[in-house]
Amino acid sequence: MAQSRLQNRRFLGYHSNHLIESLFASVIPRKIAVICLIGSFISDHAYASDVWFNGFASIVMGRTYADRNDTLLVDYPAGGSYESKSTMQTETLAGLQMLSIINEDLNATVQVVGRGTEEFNASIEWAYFTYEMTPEWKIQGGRKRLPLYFYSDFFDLGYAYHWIRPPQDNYTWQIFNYNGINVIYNTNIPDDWVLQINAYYGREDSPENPFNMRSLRPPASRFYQSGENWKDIFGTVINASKGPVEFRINHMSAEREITEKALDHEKKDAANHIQFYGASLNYDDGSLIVLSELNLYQEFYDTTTGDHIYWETWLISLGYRINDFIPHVTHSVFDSEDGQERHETLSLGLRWDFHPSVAFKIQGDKTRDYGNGSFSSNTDLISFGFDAVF
Amino acid sequence: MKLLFITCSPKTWASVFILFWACSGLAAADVAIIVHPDNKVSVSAADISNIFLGRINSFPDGEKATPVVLKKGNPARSEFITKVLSQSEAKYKSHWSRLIFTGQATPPLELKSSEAILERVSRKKDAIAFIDAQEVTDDVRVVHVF
Repeated sequence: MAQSRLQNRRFLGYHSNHLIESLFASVIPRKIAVICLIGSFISDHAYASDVWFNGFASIVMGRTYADRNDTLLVDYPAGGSYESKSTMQTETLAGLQMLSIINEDLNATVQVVGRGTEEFNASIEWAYFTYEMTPEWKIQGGRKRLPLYFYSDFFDLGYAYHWIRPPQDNYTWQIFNYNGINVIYNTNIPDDWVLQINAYYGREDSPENPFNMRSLRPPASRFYQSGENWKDIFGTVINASKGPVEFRINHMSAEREITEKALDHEKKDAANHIQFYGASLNYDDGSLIVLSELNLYQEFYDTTTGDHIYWETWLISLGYRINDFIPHVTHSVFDSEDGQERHETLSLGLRWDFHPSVAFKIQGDKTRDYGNGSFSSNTDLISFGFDAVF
Repeated sequence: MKLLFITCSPKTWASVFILFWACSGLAAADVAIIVHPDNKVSVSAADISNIFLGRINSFPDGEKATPVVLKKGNPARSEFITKVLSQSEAKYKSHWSRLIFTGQATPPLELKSSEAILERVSRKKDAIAFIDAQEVTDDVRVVHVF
């Protein structure tokens, strides 16, 4: 019974989002404005019914400064990059979330995101139900973001962190979302700590992967197709927090299938076993902010011989909150064992919370590429913009 | 710039104004943390902070805890966010936006007045809320005063 009611509500959820989608499709340059307007109009009335609307938007402008090789990939999942000409297309985005409370224990969520890199074609990126079995145990099923890195979950939500974007040297992954189930367990542990454990299982097929199509840079990149399927994704995230401290460790394993196709011929297919390990330690006491993250990735080409590649990424960021301002400095590194991909970035930035739900940000990044392959570039980037939630 | 103005409705600007006005003239009052009168649980300052930051959904005895908050602009809210959560309105909002958009928590119910809060808490056994300590009535139980 509960199940059929859920499906009804979820159907309604999709239905109204189709309406919103077609609304956006009509006026492409004004899509962001439309999404903001809808959000600010309905959010005040959301409590009356059992449907809640929330939204977020980022408007970002940037350009690179470099002698040669002036393209800098900053948004790996969506394939967004900057060049030596100012653009607002790369990282401008807007999202609208609808939460439908079905009963005390059951709710359904749909999130639609439109990105500049994808011509603002709004797509459903999250659609899942949450069933609260007890106050400590929850189960979710549907489409969610793959929680690989610390910021993967809220990568799009600029308002929730101090940078313009989580450092691009770390956030290099192909599979953004997955379809599957997630179990969440929240509990008190001694000494006022709170523990949260997530365990998820699912898969994702991405036949025209934006990351691969833009970052692998074959000679004819525009016509290059690369499919990426992750099967049997199994992951665990353990998060412990107390006061200003948040500690997170995670692991994920999956079977990665790659199909690559050049303009005229099929290049290669592969199926590899991958392992990902991550650890983060963050501190924010209201003034001092210290963020750190270390991630390790292993991909086995041949499980019998153990032939594999291995890379690690890490970042450290320091910030200090002075009234409504957060100046910050960050160092981030990507380092592969075979030397093919090696790059690092030093960033300086400022976040200004000039309004209770809008922040202004400006940031300079100096990226240096030491790798034998060409994955990143020796480029300086200046970007600034606004992040809002409503 | 045009887009920015669209995101901020006149209503939002008005609430910013009211917030500044409210914060400027008033002396800090005590904030009381209240629960349903039948809820006999004892909660520490850390438990309160964890519940209102959406980190935990239960009282220390394992029963469900649902935070209810006053709307932005209410002096008791600013007082609660600074004193009890040691945060700013912007940091609180940024923290909650992360939980809401990643599906880890549903947004807490926001009510306009202490009367509405009192009415809700006296009716709902899982509710926990904060109000100005001077406005507490016998319909609720006070678990902490900050």
